[in-house]
Amino acid sequence: MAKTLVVYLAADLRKFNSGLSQGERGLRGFSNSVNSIMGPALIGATAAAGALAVKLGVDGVQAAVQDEKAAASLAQTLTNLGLAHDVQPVEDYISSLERSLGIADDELRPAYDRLARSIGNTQEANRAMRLALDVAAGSGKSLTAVVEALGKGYDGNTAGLSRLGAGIDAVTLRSGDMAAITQELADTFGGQADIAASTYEGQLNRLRIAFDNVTEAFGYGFLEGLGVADQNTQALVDSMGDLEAQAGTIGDAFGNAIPLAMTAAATSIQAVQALTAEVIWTWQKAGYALQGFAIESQDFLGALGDEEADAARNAMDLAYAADEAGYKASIMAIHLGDAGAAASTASTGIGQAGDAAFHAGRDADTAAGAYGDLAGAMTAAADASFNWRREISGTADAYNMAIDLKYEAWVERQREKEQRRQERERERRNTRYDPARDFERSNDRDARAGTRGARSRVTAGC
Amino acid sequence: MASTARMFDARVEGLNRILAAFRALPKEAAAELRTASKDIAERRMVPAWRDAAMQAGPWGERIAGTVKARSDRIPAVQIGGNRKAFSGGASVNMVRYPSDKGDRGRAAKGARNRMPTAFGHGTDWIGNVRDYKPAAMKEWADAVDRITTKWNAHG
Repeated sequence: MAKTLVVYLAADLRKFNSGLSQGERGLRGFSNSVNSIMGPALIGATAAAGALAVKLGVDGVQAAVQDEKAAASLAQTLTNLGLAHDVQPVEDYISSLERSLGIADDELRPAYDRLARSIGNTQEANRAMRLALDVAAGSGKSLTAVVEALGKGYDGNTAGLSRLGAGIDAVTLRSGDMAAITQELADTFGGQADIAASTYEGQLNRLRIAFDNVTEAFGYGFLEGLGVADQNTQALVDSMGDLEAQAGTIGDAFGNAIPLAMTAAATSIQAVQALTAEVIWTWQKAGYALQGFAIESQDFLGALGDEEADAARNAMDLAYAADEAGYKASIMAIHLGDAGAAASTASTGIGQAGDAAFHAGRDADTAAGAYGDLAGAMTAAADASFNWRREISGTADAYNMAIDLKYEAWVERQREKEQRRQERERERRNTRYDPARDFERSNDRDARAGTRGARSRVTAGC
Repeated sequence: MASTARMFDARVEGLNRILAAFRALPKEAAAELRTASKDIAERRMVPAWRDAAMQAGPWGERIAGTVKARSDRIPAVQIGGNRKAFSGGASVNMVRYPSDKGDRGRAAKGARNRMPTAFGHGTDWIGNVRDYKPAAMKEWADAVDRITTKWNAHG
């Protein structure tokens, strides 16, 4: 039978494997991009990445603005101290501290600024900064409090240093010899910052800082790209502001991941491993988001000019770099072994659902079987009833037929009898009177009847 | 028995999982995917198949006239019909396969049912339609991305 042909663009590999002999020439590699972007488990992540891209676009610009403001403030302080030539080396030093210790630069810069103002040279300020970080990590005091105490100590007031809980000799404190004081602090708290950074909490901090730096860098690139087209900046900011409404959901999810990781860091190694992977995965999603946002930005900025297009391309390169970094971090998360726990939990739930479905199906089969048996019994009963009725009706028909036959036979006999009577009547009318014949007939009749009265022939005629 | 013959341009591992995941989204998402898929089919698949059908010999024009896009979650086109399309009473469905394969395939030498000689060796017009696939697949994947992003954000 001739059929209509329907040509589908694609089909699932497993199900239609046997029916593709005619159309196998095609895209075999397409499944990679589909799976990496669109698998059911990642549909939520894709949407999350899309919304996160919006948030990064907004936060990145804001972070870049704040970072630039803080950097400008420190640079001005150094310039005022006659240390303008050290602005970039100080920035590099602060960046190295940020990456190695996981402390945000917006916390390090004010601290360095305070120390630089009290000390007056960057070399000593660098050492003091390092010491302050060790004391803060070892004593549990905030970096701000430690830096303030050190700064005052360099200014001549060592009272604050005694409240650090460092056990500094009172004589040394009263002497005001900062070299001796700082040496004693270094002897007590030396290396504490590095130790803190190597803990799980420290690792998470470093990851978070790295992600924040990516956000800042994106914002920097974005702003630089818009620098020569200032009249469009406001329009773009307004449009990004309109998109902020979509960013809340993923912003919350991301924000929950970080504090949750920070809290669970003190509980168990396994929990920290899982949450580290969650943060890393969030970072990787951010890489995707940056990619997407960079593409969107490129489309928008493409109409503005070549410089803006270059800025957008730089942003895209940054996004690729972030994606690559996220990928490497995800490899590390795999080595930490977090996937198995999540998969085990998920598979348990799925297995339970499967068991319930199996039992429900089995019950349905049993019920279907019972209904089938009942239907069969009802059918058999109906057939039996039909046969019984048929037999009854057959019997009745037979009985009726018998009656009809008898009646017809009786009618036939009556007709024959009538026929004979009529024949006799005709015969009698047609026969002439003959006394001898009648006499013999009467004798015969009497003889048959066995009665007297039989007359002799002589008496009658001789 | 099925009333249509089916053919697939590409195999995608996990495609059924992708389509099944759409059940988690609102119905409007599936409707939007159908609209997008039909649009892709009309712009990319229908012209390609019509051009190919015109190479099907004397029957090509009638066959090309029956090519139309279907409404489905995956872009698809339908070729053929059961109405009388030729003076002898044949429909497009009757001539589609013979015009493609001729006396090859099912009607090869030794087959019980021989192909009418009018079809010759066939023109193989069905097997040569492939140029639209990369662009169509890319466009469909982008549509899926767009729809899921939109509806996940709303949901």
